[in-house]
Amino acid sequence: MLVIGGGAAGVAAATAAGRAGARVILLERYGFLGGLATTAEVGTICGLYLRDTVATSATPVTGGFPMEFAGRLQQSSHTKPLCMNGGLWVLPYFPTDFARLADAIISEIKEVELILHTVVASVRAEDSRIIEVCSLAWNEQLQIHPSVVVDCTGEATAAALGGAAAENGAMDQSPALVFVLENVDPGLAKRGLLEVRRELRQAVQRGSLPALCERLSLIPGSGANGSFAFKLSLLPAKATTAFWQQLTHWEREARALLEPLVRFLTIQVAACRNARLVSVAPQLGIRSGRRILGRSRLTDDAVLSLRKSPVGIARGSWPMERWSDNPKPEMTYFAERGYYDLPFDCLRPVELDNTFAAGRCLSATTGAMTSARVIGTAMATGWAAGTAAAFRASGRSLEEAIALIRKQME
Amino acid sequence: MTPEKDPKIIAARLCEFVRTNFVAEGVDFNENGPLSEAGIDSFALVELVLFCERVLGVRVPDSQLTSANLASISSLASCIAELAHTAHKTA
Repeated sequence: MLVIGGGAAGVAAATAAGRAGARVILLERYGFLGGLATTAEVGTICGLYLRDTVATSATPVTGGFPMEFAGRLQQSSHTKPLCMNGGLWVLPYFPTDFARLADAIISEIKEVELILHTVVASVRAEDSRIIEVCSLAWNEQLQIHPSVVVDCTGEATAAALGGAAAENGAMDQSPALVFVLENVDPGLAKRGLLEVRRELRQAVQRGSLPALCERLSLIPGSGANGSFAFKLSLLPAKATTAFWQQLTHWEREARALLEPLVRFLTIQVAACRNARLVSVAPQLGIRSGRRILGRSRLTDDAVLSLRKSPVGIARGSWPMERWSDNPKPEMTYFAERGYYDLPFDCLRPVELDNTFAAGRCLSATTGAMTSARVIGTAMATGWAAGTAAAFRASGRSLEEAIALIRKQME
Repeated sequence: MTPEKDPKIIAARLCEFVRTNFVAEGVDFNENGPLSEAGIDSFALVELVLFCERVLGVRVPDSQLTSANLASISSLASCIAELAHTAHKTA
Protein backbone atom coordinates (compact mmCIF):
# COMPACT_ATOMS: atom_id res chain seq x y z
CA MET A 1 0.00 0.00 0.00
CA LEU A 2 0.99 3.59 -0.54
CA VAL A 3 1.05 6.54 1.87
CA ILE A 4 1.53 9.90 0.17
CA GLY A 5 2.96 12.70 2.27
CA GLY A 6 5.36 12.32 5.21
CA GLY A 7 3.84 14.92 7.54
CA ALA A 8 2.25 14.24 10.92
CA ALA A 9 -0.64 12.30 9.34
CA GLY A 10 1.52 10.39 6.85
CA VAL A 11 4.13 9.31 9.40
CA ALA A 12 1.33 8.06 11.66
CA ALA A 13 -0.40 6.29 8.74
CA ALA A 14 2.77 4.53 7.55
CA THR A 15 3.64 3.53 11.13
CA ALA A 16 0.14 2.15 11.77
CA ALA A 17 0.08 0.21 8.51
CA GLY A 18 3.61 -1.13 8.95
CA ARG A 19 2.95 -2.23 12.53
CA ALA A 20 -0.25 -3.93 11.31
CA GLY A 21 1.91 -5.98 8.95
CA ALA A 22 1.28 -4.23 5.62
CA ARG A 23 4.08 -3.53 3.15
CA VAL A 24 4.13 0.23 2.79
CA ILE A 25 5.72 2.76 0.46
CA LEU A 26 5.83 6.27 1.96
CA LEU A 27 6.42 9.18 -0.42
CA GLU A 28 7.67 12.55 0.84
CA ARG A 29 8.34 15.63 -1.24
CA TYR A 30 11.14 17.09 0.89
CA GLY A 31 14.45 15.56 2.01
CA PHE A 32 13.15 14.93 5.54
CA LEU A 33 9.92 13.98 7.29
CA GLY A 34 7.46 16.08 9.28
CA GLY A 35 5.46 18.05 6.70
CA LEU A 36 4.47 21.50 7.90
CA ALA A 37 5.61 20.63 11.44
CA THR A 38 9.16 20.74 10.09
CA THR A 39 9.07 22.60 6.75
CA ALA A 40 6.96 25.46 8.13
CA GLU A 41 8.47 25.12 11.63
CA VAL A 42 5.09 25.34 13.35
CA GLY A 43 6.83 24.90 16.72
CA THR A 44 3.96 23.66 18.89
CA ILE A 45 1.75 20.58 18.67
CA CYS A 46 -1.89 21.47 19.26
CA GLY A 47 -4.74 19.00 19.71
CA LEU A 48 -2.96 16.57 22.04
CA TYR A 49 -4.55 17.69 25.31
CA LEU A 50 -7.89 18.80 26.73
CA ARG A 51 -8.46 22.51 27.25
CA ASP A 52 -8.27 23.21 30.96
CA THR A 53 -7.88 26.52 32.78
CA VAL A 54 -7.61 24.94 36.22
CA ALA A 55 -5.38 21.86 36.01
CA THR A 56 -1.66 22.20 36.64
CA SER A 57 -0.75 19.44 34.20
CA ALA A 58 -1.95 18.49 30.73
CA THR A 59 -4.58 15.79 30.21
CA PRO A 60 -4.21 13.80 26.96
CA VAL A 61 -7.34 13.71 24.80
CA THR A 62 -6.42 10.30 23.44
CA GLY A 63 -4.11 7.35 23.92
CA GLY A 64 -2.19 5.60 21.18
CA PHE A 65 0.27 6.95 18.64
CA PRO A 66 -0.09 10.74 19.15
CA MET A 67 0.87 10.34 22.80
CA GLU A 68 3.67 7.88 21.99
CA PHE A 69 5.09 10.42 19.54
CA ALA A 70 4.60 13.31 21.99
CA GLY A 71 6.34 11.39 24.77
CA ARG A 72 9.39 10.64 22.63
CA LEU A 73 9.44 14.21 21.25
CA GLN A 74 9.43 15.64 24.77
CA GLN A 75 12.52 13.59 25.56
CA SER A 76 14.45 14.67 22.49
CA SER A 77 13.30 18.32 22.53
CA HIS A 78 13.56 18.62 26.35
CA THR A 79 10.18 20.37 26.39
CA LYS A 80 6.98 19.80 28.30
CA PRO A 81 3.32 20.70 27.73
CA LEU A 82 2.66 24.41 28.11
CA CYS A 83 -0.61 26.11 29.09
CA MET A 84 -1.49 29.20 27.06
CA ASN A 85 -4.32 31.72 27.41
CA GLY A 86 -7.75 30.15 27.68
CA GLY A 87 -6.40 26.88 29.13
CA LEU A 88 -5.04 25.70 25.80
CA TRP A 89 -2.28 23.14 26.32
CA VAL A 90 0.34 22.68 23.60
CA LEU A 91 3.62 20.80 23.28
CA PRO A 92 6.50 23.01 22.08
CA TYR A 93 9.19 21.24 20.04
CA PHE A 94 12.23 21.91 17.89
CA PRO A 95 11.53 21.18 14.20
CA THR A 96 14.80 19.28 13.72
CA ASP A 97 13.87 16.98 16.63
CA PHE A 98 10.45 16.36 15.06
CA ALA A 99 12.04 15.37 11.75
CA ARG A 100 14.62 13.12 13.41
CA LEU A 101 12.02 11.39 15.57
CA ALA A 102 9.69 10.81 12.61
CA ASP A 103 12.59 9.23 10.74
CA ALA A 104 13.58 7.08 13.72
CA ILE A 105 10.03 5.77 14.08
CA ILE A 106 9.77 4.97 10.37
CA SER A 107 13.22 3.29 10.47
CA GLU A 108 12.04 0.95 13.21
CA ILE A 109 9.51 -0.64 10.87
CA LYS A 110 11.08 -2.81 8.20
CA GLU A 111 7.78 -3.02 6.28
CA VAL A 112 7.95 0.70 5.40
CA GLU A 113 10.03 1.89 2.45
CA LEU A 114 10.51 5.66 2.55
CA ILE A 115 11.18 7.50 -0.71
CA LEU A 116 12.16 11.15 -0.26
CA HIS A 117 12.11 13.99 -2.79
CA THR A 118 9.10 12.51 -4.52
CA VAL A 119 5.90 14.21 -5.66
CA VAL A 120 2.77 12.75 -7.21
CA ALA A 121 2.22 13.88 -10.79
CA SER A 122 -0.79 11.85 -11.93
CA VAL A 123 -3.18 9.17 -10.77
CA ARG A 124 -5.16 6.58 -12.70
CA ALA A 125 -8.37 5.20 -11.26
CA GLU A 126 -10.62 2.42 -12.58
CA ASP A 127 -13.74 0.86 -11.08
CA SER A 128 -13.66 3.15 -8.05
CA ARG A 129 -10.06 2.27 -7.25
CA ILE A 130 -6.77 4.08 -7.65
CA ILE A 131 -4.71 1.57 -9.67
CA GLU A 132 -1.65 3.61 -10.58
CA VAL A 133 0.19 6.57 -9.08
CA CYS A 134 2.81 8.26 -11.27
CA SER A 135 5.34 10.22 -9.29
CA LEU A 136 8.51 12.12 -9.94
CA ALA A 137 11.20 10.68 -7.69
CA TRP A 138 13.83 13.42 -7.73
CA ASN A 139 14.62 13.24 -11.45
CA GLU A 140 12.92 10.02 -12.58
CA GLN A 141 9.37 8.90 -13.14
CA LEU A 142 8.24 6.26 -10.69
CA GLN A 143 5.07 4.24 -11.30
CA ILE A 144 3.44 2.61 -8.29
CA HIS A 145 0.49 0.19 -8.42
CA PRO A 146 -0.90 0.22 -4.89
CA SER A 147 -3.63 -1.97 -3.47
CA VAL A 148 -4.65 0.82 -1.10
CA VAL A 149 -3.75 4.54 -0.95
CA VAL A 150 -3.65 6.87 2.07
CA ASP A 151 -3.67 10.50 0.96
CA CYS A 152 -1.83 12.60 3.55
CA THR A 153 -0.78 15.31 1.12
CA GLY A 154 -2.59 18.10 2.96
CA GLU A 155 -4.17 18.98 -0.37
CA ALA A 156 -6.05 15.75 -1.22
CA THR A 157 -3.79 15.59 -4.25
CA ALA A 158 -4.04 11.86 -4.93
CA ALA A 159 -7.74 11.61 -4.15
CA ALA A 160 -8.59 14.61 -6.34
CA LEU A 161 -6.39 13.45 -9.23
CA GLY A 162 -8.09 10.05 -8.88
CA GLY A 163 -11.50 11.63 -9.40
CA ALA A 164 -12.73 12.14 -5.84
CA ALA A 165 -14.93 15.18 -5.26
CA ALA A 166 -13.09 17.80 -3.26
CA GLU A 167 -13.56 21.36 -2.07
CA ASN A 168 -11.05 24.16 -2.16
CA GLY A 169 -10.33 25.47 1.32
CA ALA A 170 -7.37 27.58 0.23
CA MET A 171 -9.15 30.85 1.00
CA ASP A 172 -10.36 29.79 4.45
CA GLN A 173 -7.25 30.83 6.37
CA SER A 174 -4.17 32.98 6.03
CA PRO A 175 -0.69 31.39 5.94
CA ALA A 176 2.32 32.34 8.07
CA LEU A 177 6.10 32.46 7.72
CA VAL A 178 8.23 31.41 10.69
CA PHE A 179 11.71 32.82 11.26
CA VAL A 180 14.16 32.69 14.13
CA LEU A 181 16.07 35.57 15.72
CA GLU A 182 18.87 34.84 18.15
CA ASN A 183 20.45 37.08 20.79
CA VAL A 184 17.16 38.67 21.81
CA ASP A 185 16.58 39.74 25.43
CA PRO A 186 14.63 36.76 26.92
CA GLY A 187 12.51 39.25 28.91
CA LEU A 188 10.75 40.20 25.68
CA ALA A 189 8.81 36.92 25.78
CA LYS A 190 7.54 37.66 29.30
CA ARG A 191 6.42 41.11 28.14
CA GLY A 192 4.39 39.49 25.35
CA LEU A 193 6.37 41.31 22.62
CA LEU A 194 4.84 44.51 23.90
CA GLU A 195 7.61 46.92 22.96
CA VAL A 196 7.96 45.22 19.57
CA ARG A 197 4.26 45.64 18.90
CA ARG A 198 4.38 49.26 20.05
CA GLU A 199 7.22 50.18 17.71
CA LEU A 200 5.69 48.25 14.80
CA ARG A 201 2.31 49.91 15.29
CA GLN A 202 3.88 53.37 15.20
CA ALA A 203 6.10 52.52 12.22
CA VAL A 204 3.12 51.23 10.27
CA GLN A 205 1.12 54.34 11.14
CA ARG A 206 4.02 56.52 9.96
CA GLY A 207 4.20 54.48 6.76
CA SER A 208 7.81 53.45 7.30
CA LEU A 209 6.94 49.73 7.35
CA PRO A 210 4.24 47.83 5.41
CA ALA A 211 1.10 46.96 7.42
CA LEU A 212 1.89 43.23 7.23
CA CYS A 213 4.74 43.76 9.69
CA GLU A 214 2.23 44.25 12.48
CA ARG A 215 1.01 40.69 11.99
CA LEU A 216 3.87 39.32 14.04
CA SER A 217 3.55 36.90 16.93
CA LEU A 218 5.76 34.69 19.04
CA ILE A 219 5.67 30.87 18.85
CA PRO A 220 4.64 29.79 22.37
CA GLY A 221 7.48 28.24 24.33
CA SER A 222 10.23 29.95 22.35
CA GLY A 223 12.43 32.76 23.66
CA ALA A 224 13.71 31.35 26.94
CA ASN A 225 17.36 31.24 25.84
CA GLY A 226 17.21 34.34 23.66
CA SER A 227 16.29 32.34 20.56
CA PHE A 228 12.91 33.67 19.40
CA ALA A 229 10.74 31.91 16.80
CA PHE A 230 8.45 34.52 15.27
CA LYS A 231 5.45 33.94 13.06
CA LEU A 232 4.49 36.50 10.44
CA SER A 233 0.87 35.98 9.37
CA LEU A 234 -0.08 37.04 5.86
CA LEU A 235 -3.50 37.89 4.45
CA PRO A 236 -5.97 35.28 3.16
CA ALA A 237 -5.89 34.23 -0.50
CA LYS A 238 -7.87 36.06 -3.15
CA ALA A 239 -10.61 34.17 -4.96
CA THR A 240 -9.46 35.46 -8.32
CA THR A 241 -5.97 33.96 -8.23
CA ALA A 242 -4.96 30.33 -8.83
CA PHE A 243 -3.55 28.94 -5.60
CA TRP A 244 -0.12 28.19 -7.06
CA GLN A 245 0.10 31.84 -8.16
CA GLN A 246 -1.05 33.01 -4.74
CA LEU A 247 1.50 30.79 -3.03
CA THR A 248 4.33 32.15 -5.14
CA HIS A 249 3.25 35.69 -4.35
CA TRP A 250 2.97 34.96 -0.60
CA GLU A 251 6.37 33.29 -0.34
CA ARG A 252 8.10 36.18 -2.10
CA GLU A 253 6.19 38.89 -0.27
CA ALA A 254 6.85 37.44 3.19
CA ARG A 255 10.53 36.65 2.60
CA ALA A 256 11.18 40.10 1.14
CA LEU A 257 9.74 41.70 4.30
CA LEU A 258 12.11 39.98 6.69
CA GLU A 259 15.20 42.05 5.94
CA PRO A 260 13.61 45.51 6.57
CA LEU A 261 11.61 44.14 9.49
CA VAL A 262 14.63 42.67 11.29
CA ARG A 263 16.71 45.78 10.56
CA PHE A 264 13.94 47.92 12.05
CA LEU A 265 13.76 45.78 15.19
CA THR A 266 17.52 45.89 15.79
CA ILE A 267 17.47 49.69 15.53
CA GLN A 268 14.22 50.53 17.34
CA VAL A 269 13.77 47.88 20.04
CA ALA A 270 16.39 47.66 22.77
CA ALA A 271 15.64 43.98 23.42
CA CYS A 272 16.48 43.20 19.78
CA ARG A 273 19.60 45.36 19.47
CA ASN A 274 21.96 42.41 19.03
CA ALA A 275 19.45 40.13 17.32
CA ARG A 276 20.49 38.08 14.34
CA LEU A 277 18.23 36.40 11.78
CA VAL A 278 19.50 32.81 11.87
CA SER A 279 16.86 30.85 9.97
CA VAL A 280 13.71 31.15 7.92
CA ALA A 281 11.33 28.22 7.45
CA PRO A 282 11.75 26.53 4.04
CA GLN A 283 8.02 26.82 3.41
CA LEU A 284 5.08 28.97 4.42
CA GLY A 285 2.71 27.40 6.93
CA ILE A 286 -0.41 26.79 4.86
CA ARG A 287 -3.29 26.40 7.27
CA SER A 288 -5.95 25.29 4.84
CA GLY A 289 -6.08 23.59 1.46
CA ARG A 290 -8.15 21.25 -0.69
CA ARG A 291 -10.04 18.52 1.13
CA ILE A 292 -12.25 15.63 0.08
CA LEU A 293 -16.02 15.67 0.18
CA GLY A 294 -16.24 12.33 1.91
CA ARG A 295 -18.92 9.78 2.83
CA SER A 296 -19.36 11.75 6.04
CA ARG A 297 -18.43 15.35 6.76
CA LEU A 298 -17.35 16.78 10.09
CA THR A 299 -19.56 19.83 10.70
CA ASP A 300 -19.24 23.00 12.78
CA ASP A 301 -22.17 21.79 14.85
CA ALA A 302 -20.55 18.39 15.55
CA VAL A 303 -17.40 20.15 16.74
CA LEU A 304 -19.11 22.76 18.93
CA SER A 305 -21.61 20.31 20.44
CA LEU A 306 -18.81 17.79 21.16
CA ARG A 307 -20.63 15.10 19.19
CA LYS A 308 -19.51 11.53 19.77
CA SER A 309 -19.79 8.78 17.17
CA PRO A 310 -19.94 4.97 17.43
CA VAL A 311 -17.45 4.94 14.54
CA GLY A 312 -15.28 7.75 15.96
CA ILE A 313 -11.65 7.03 15.06
CA ALA A 314 -9.99 10.16 16.45
CA ARG A 315 -10.76 12.90 18.95
CA GLY A 316 -10.58 16.63 18.39
CA SER A 317 -9.84 18.86 21.37
CA TRP A 318 -8.62 22.08 19.76
CA PRO A 319 -11.10 24.98 19.46
CA MET A 320 -11.95 26.47 16.11
CA GLU A 321 -9.03 28.78 15.35
CA ARG A 322 -9.42 30.94 12.29
CA TRP A 323 -6.64 33.17 11.00
CA SER A 324 -8.14 35.70 8.67
CA ASP A 325 -7.79 39.47 8.12
CA ASN A 326 -7.13 40.17 11.81
CA PRO A 327 -3.55 39.95 13.06
CA LYS A 328 -4.69 37.45 15.68
CA PRO A 329 -6.93 34.37 15.30
CA GLU A 330 -10.66 34.30 15.97
CA MET A 331 -11.22 31.55 18.52
CA THR A 332 -14.49 29.67 18.99
CA TYR A 333 -14.31 27.55 22.12
CA PHE A 334 -16.29 24.57 23.23
CA ALA A 335 -16.63 23.45 26.86
CA GLU A 336 -13.45 22.89 28.85
CA ARG A 337 -12.25 19.27 29.03
CA GLY A 338 -14.51 18.47 26.09
CA TYR A 339 -13.71 16.70 22.84
CA TYR A 340 -15.56 15.55 19.74
CA ASP A 341 -15.19 12.43 17.64
CA LEU A 342 -14.11 12.35 14.02
CA PRO A 343 -16.27 9.68 12.33
CA PHE A 344 -14.43 7.10 10.21
CA ASP A 345 -16.28 7.99 7.01
CA CYS A 346 -14.74 11.50 7.04
CA LEU A 347 -11.60 9.73 5.81
CA ARG A 348 -13.33 8.06 2.87
CA PRO A 349 -13.90 9.65 -0.53
CA VAL A 350 -17.29 8.75 -1.99
CA GLU A 351 -15.84 7.77 -5.37
CA LEU A 352 -12.83 5.66 -4.34
CA ASP A 353 -13.03 2.38 -2.41
CA ASN A 354 -9.30 1.81 -1.88
CA THR A 355 -8.41 5.32 -0.78
CA PHE A 356 -8.41 7.11 2.56
CA ALA A 357 -7.63 10.77 3.28
CA ALA A 358 -6.19 11.92 6.60
CA GLY A 359 -4.85 15.05 8.23
CA ARG A 360 -5.86 18.38 6.76
CA CYS A 361 -7.55 16.87 3.69
CA LEU A 362 -10.22 14.76 5.37
CA SER A 363 -13.85 15.73 4.88
CA ALA A 364 -14.93 18.67 7.05
CA THR A 365 -16.70 22.00 6.75
CA THR A 366 -14.61 25.17 6.73
CA GLY A 367 -15.22 25.89 10.43
CA ALA A 368 -14.74 22.28 11.58
CA MET A 369 -11.40 22.09 9.76
CA THR A 370 -10.13 25.15 11.64
CA SER A 371 -10.23 22.81 14.64
CA ALA A 372 -9.41 19.40 13.11
CA ARG A 373 -6.38 20.56 11.09
CA VAL A 374 -3.91 20.72 14.01
CA ILE A 375 -0.90 18.38 14.26
CA GLY A 376 -2.14 16.22 17.16
CA THR A 377 -5.48 15.53 15.46
CA ALA A 378 -3.74 14.98 12.11
CA MET A 379 -1.59 12.29 13.72
CA ALA A 380 -4.67 10.59 15.14
CA THR A 381 -6.54 10.58 11.82
CA GLY A 382 -3.38 9.44 10.01
CA TRP A 383 -3.05 6.53 12.41
CA ALA A 384 -6.70 5.57 11.80
CA ALA A 385 -6.34 5.79 8.02
CA GLY A 386 -3.14 3.70 8.06
CA THR A 387 -4.73 1.02 10.22
CA ALA A 388 -7.84 0.89 8.03
CA ALA A 389 -5.70 0.73 4.88
CA ALA A 390 -3.66 -2.18 6.25
CA PHE A 391 -6.83 -4.07 7.12
CA ARG A 392 -8.25 -3.44 3.67
CA ALA A 393 -4.99 -4.48 1.97
CA SER A 394 -5.04 -7.81 3.78
CA GLY A 395 -8.74 -8.45 3.17
CA ARG A 396 -9.85 -7.89 6.75
CA SER A 397 -13.01 -5.88 7.43
CA LEU A 398 -13.09 -2.16 8.12
CA GLU A 399 -15.34 -2.84 11.14
CA GLU A 400 -12.48 -4.80 12.70
CA ALA A 401 -10.12 -1.94 11.93
CA ILE A 402 -12.43 0.60 13.58
CA ALA A 403 -12.78 -1.58 16.67
CA LEU A 404 -8.99 -1.81 16.99
CA ILE A 405 -8.48 1.95 16.48
CA ARG A 406 -11.11 2.74 19.12
CA LYS A 407 -9.46 0.37 21.57
CA GLN A 408 -6.10 2.05 21.00
CA MET A 409 -7.62 5.49 21.71
CA GLU A 410 -8.53 4.50 25.28
CA MET B 1 1.53 68.66 26.99
CA THR B 2 1.65 68.57 30.82
CA PRO B 3 1.43 64.97 31.88
CA GLU B 4 -1.41 64.03 34.24
CA LYS B 5 0.01 63.04 37.64
CA ASP B 6 -3.05 62.04 39.65
CA PRO B 7 -3.32 58.22 39.63
CA LYS B 8 -7.10 58.41 40.25
CA ILE B 9 -7.72 60.61 37.22
CA ILE B 10 -5.36 58.48 35.13
CA ALA B 11 -7.15 55.28 36.22
CA ALA B 12 -10.54 56.77 35.35
CA ARG B 13 -9.39 57.72 31.87
CA LEU B 14 -7.77 54.34 31.26
CA CYS B 15 -10.93 52.56 32.44
CA GLU B 16 -13.02 54.60 30.06
CA PHE B 17 -10.69 53.79 27.17
CA VAL B 18 -10.68 50.07 27.93
CA ARG B 19 -14.47 49.92 28.38
CA THR B 20 -15.07 51.73 25.11
CA ASN B 21 -12.63 49.69 23.07
CA PHE B 22 -12.09 46.23 24.49
CA VAL B 23 -14.47 45.02 27.16
CA ALA B 24 -17.41 43.00 25.86
CA GLU B 25 -20.86 44.10 26.95
CA GLY B 26 -21.95 42.49 30.18
CA VAL B 27 -18.41 41.80 31.39
CA ASP B 28 -17.80 43.10 34.88
CA PHE B 29 -14.74 45.33 34.74
CA ASN B 30 -13.10 47.59 37.31
CA GLU B 31 -9.72 49.20 37.81
CA ASN B 32 -8.48 46.54 40.22
CA GLY B 33 -9.52 43.46 38.23
CA PRO B 34 -6.92 41.54 36.20
CA LEU B 35 -6.76 42.91 32.64
CA SER B 36 -6.28 39.40 31.26
CA GLU B 37 -9.70 38.38 32.61
CA ALA B 38 -11.34 41.35 30.86
CA GLY B 39 -10.11 40.01 27.52
CA ILE B 40 -7.14 42.39 27.22
CA ASP B 41 -4.50 40.52 25.19
CA SER B 42 -1.10 41.80 24.09
CA PHE B 43 -2.62 43.51 21.03
CA ALA B 44 -5.03 45.46 23.26
CA LEU B 45 -2.26 46.22 25.76
CA VAL B 46 -0.31 47.95 23.01
CA GLU B 47 -3.30 50.18 22.30
CA LEU B 48 -3.57 50.95 25.99
CA VAL B 49 0.12 51.86 26.28
CA LEU B 50 -0.08 54.03 23.16
CA PHE B 51 -3.14 55.73 24.63
CA CYS B 52 -1.05 56.63 27.70
CA GLU B 53 1.59 58.15 25.47
CA ARG B 54 -0.79 59.94 23.12
CA VAL B 55 -3.39 61.28 25.56
CA LEU B 56 -1.67 61.31 28.95
CA GLY B 57 1.66 62.49 27.59
CA VAL B 58 3.83 59.84 29.25
CA ARG B 59 6.10 57.48 27.37
CA VAL B 60 6.40 54.11 29.11
CA PRO B 61 10.01 52.86 28.82
CA ASP B 62 10.50 49.24 27.70
CA SER B 63 11.79 48.35 31.16
CA GLN B 64 8.43 49.37 32.70
CA LEU B 65 6.37 47.15 30.37
CA THR B 66 6.28 44.44 33.02
CA SER B 67 3.45 42.07 33.84
CA ALA B 68 3.24 43.63 37.32
CA ASN B 69 2.68 47.13 35.87
CA LEU B 70 0.21 45.77 33.31
CA ALA B 71 -1.74 43.55 35.68
CA SER B 72 -4.63 45.95 36.22
CA ILE B 73 -5.69 49.49 35.40
CA SER B 74 -4.73 50.65 38.91
CA SER B 75 -1.19 49.22 38.64
CA LEU B 76 -0.74 50.81 35.22
CA ALA B 77 -2.15 54.13 36.53
CA SER B 78 0.36 54.11 39.44
CA CYS B 79 3.17 53.43 36.99
CA ILE B 80 2.05 56.30 34.71
CA ALA B 81 1.70 58.70 37.66
CA GLU B 82 5.18 57.76 38.87
CA LEU B 83 6.62 58.31 35.41
CA ALA B 84 4.87 61.69 35.16
CA HIS B 85 6.34 62.78 38.51
CA THR B 86 9.83 61.67 37.45
CA ALA B 87 9.51 63.45 34.12
CA HIS B 88 8.31 66.61 35.92
CA LYS B 89 11.26 66.53 38.39
CA THR B 90 13.74 65.88 35.60
CA ALA B 91 12.31 68.79 33.60
